[in-house]
Amino acid sequence: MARSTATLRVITDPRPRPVLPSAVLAMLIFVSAEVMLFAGLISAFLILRATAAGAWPPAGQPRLPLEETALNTAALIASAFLLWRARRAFADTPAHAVRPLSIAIGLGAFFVLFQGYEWVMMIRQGLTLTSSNHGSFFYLIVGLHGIHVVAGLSVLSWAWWRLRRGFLASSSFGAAQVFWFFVVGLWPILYLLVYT
Amino acid sequence: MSRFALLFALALLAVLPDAASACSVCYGGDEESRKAFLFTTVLLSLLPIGMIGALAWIVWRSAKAADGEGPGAPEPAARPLPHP
Repeated sequence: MARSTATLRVITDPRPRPVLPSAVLAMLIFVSAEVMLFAGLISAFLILRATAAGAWPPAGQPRLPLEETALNTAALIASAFLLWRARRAFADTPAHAVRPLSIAIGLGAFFVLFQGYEWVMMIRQGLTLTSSNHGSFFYLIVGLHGIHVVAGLSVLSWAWWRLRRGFLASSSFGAAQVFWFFVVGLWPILYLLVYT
Repeated sequence: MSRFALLFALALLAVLPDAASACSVCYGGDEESRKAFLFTTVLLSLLPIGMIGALAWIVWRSAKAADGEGPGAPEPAARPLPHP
């Protein structure tokens, strides 16, 4: 009886693996451009505030809700922490990432809704886009950040949907994480500059 | 034609020295605004350099990590088994 011999052939891809997933690299470059956009706005705001005659905010303009927004800031930071947990869970067992990702999206949505409520209150108190330079910059900077939060929530929701169906790529999740970390990391800077 | 334009520009500078030496963004010459201009200049100058540096560091770190587990690294299953 002839003894059969089995040969194990290992097929390797001759192409070098990318050092960084393309999606993550692209998102990092995009975020760099976004950082410069916000840096320009922050610079303009700082110069305007420094050269403004008298007190800041200008007389007759309402105070921004510092304490309430601190709570909202905490919610946004918590969402970033939960996204980090989701990413770690995704590396081990992707199904375990669904729950922390869902809560992160919920906290992000809470942030946007609370901001919207704040804006309604501010407008009722007389702070509008045309009421003063204070109002213009407040709505421009905070509004632009809000648009980014909504975009980030859309990306995270898309990632959640793909994760639920079991075909979320690690690189896509990484790119979404980079964008959300940018949005969350930027907010405390804006909060300290604009609200205080 | 270009020489004429240059002479014309120089003549304008001679006629309007105040406008020529004016700085469109140099208003409010107090200490606070001077600090704000300085800070924002430093911020906008260093931020791109810092971001490019950070990106290069991320790529370098990822390349180093990939080298450790790349195709050239020995797989545990490919190692020769010791004789019993």
